[in-house]
Amino acid sequence: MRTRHLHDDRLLECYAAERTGEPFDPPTAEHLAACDECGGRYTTLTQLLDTIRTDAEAEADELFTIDRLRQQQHQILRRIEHMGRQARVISFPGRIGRTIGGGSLRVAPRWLAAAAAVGLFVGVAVGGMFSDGSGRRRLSLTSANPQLGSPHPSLAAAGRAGVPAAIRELPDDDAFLSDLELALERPSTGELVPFDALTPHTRGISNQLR
Amino acid sequence: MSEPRILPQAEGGDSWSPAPDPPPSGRRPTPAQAADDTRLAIEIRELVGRGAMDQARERFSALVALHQRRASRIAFQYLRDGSEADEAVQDAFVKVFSHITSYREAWPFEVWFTRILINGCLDRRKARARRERWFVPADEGGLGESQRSLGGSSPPDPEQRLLARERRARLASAVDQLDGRQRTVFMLCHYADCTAREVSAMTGLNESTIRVHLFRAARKLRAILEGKA
Repeated sequence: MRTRHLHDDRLLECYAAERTGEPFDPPTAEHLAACDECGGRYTTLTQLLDTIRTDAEAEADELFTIDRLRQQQHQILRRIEHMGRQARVISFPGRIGRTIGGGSLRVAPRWLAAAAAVGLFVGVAVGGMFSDGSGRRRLSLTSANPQLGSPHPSLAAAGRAGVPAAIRELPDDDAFLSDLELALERPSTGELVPFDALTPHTRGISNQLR
Repeated sequence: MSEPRILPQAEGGDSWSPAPDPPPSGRRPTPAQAADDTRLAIEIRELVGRGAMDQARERFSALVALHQRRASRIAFQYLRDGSEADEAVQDAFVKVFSHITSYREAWPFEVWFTRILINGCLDRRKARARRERWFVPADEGGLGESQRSLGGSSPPDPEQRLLARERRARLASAVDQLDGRQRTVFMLCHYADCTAREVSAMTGLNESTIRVHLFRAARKLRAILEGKA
């Protein structure tokens, strides 16, 4: 039998082994059975950890009732319902022509098609002009200050994928905030951090107002 | 300290159907059940491979029922918000279904799924931390969903309920004070019942490092709860 008392780490190991059904180290098991002090410490430890566990489970189970789990499963099944199905092709403008119908309006589909084509052409041309302009502007900005690099790496990637410029300008919040944090961590902007610390933040102001 | 993302990511009916043999009180499935869910996952993978999507979805429903309670508990412990935990669980299951063809049986399905779930939770925590840093929360001061009593198994006596709520809040705050890796290891071992070997497969850390993180987490928790930290 061991003469020295068991270390806390060893007791925790026993607890983990007991939970997962693994066998105890035989000398440790013998010592635990024979030493009252270590046995008491082990009981205290298991009580604490069991309390943490049962409290956590009870708290989660109060929120996730049977009904809620059922809803969750419905939601999951709804979300995967269309996976692996072929996309439907909606005919245009033939259907509209038919609904507008009437002998006198037979030409309407042709007019609609022509108008749509002209609109598309004008949209692409105008969009192209704008994206060229902003692209040139961005290019001149980065070449003037090469240290800045691409201000939005995720946007640059989006640009490569051929997304229209107007959409490229609207990153989601997470990407934007992530870029912002990356920019703050860069050594070239380290000198701006004290200014950031001096600048009042919205959170601080709102707390003061309360 | 930023939280470590668990990974590398693994290679890759509308009716409520109870699990074929549900784990008792949402605890981790027994080895036999674990083997069943792995078999089920393989079956779904083959059905998806053959294009039998309706059958695959039907089988997947059973897999969801088997794991959703445990998944919800884990997600809730990470996120401390019922709605967000719900979304995280849904996202994890949807991701599992859409990537089921890349599931490999080298590890039980449960390990693969838990890894996907926890990565989703970590991403959400990160996104939330960013939002909290830059934006004023809309309902600051209001009771969050996690703090509202929803009946269920809570003690009927208001005083007991209040004490239980306070104790839970103290525990949650103590767990939240652990550093990222310690918290992940503690949650996986203690709440998700994973062995050191499984946590090692999920996190890429070696088993002895996991034991060290677990010991430190338990020691720190004890110190916080006993008021020594």
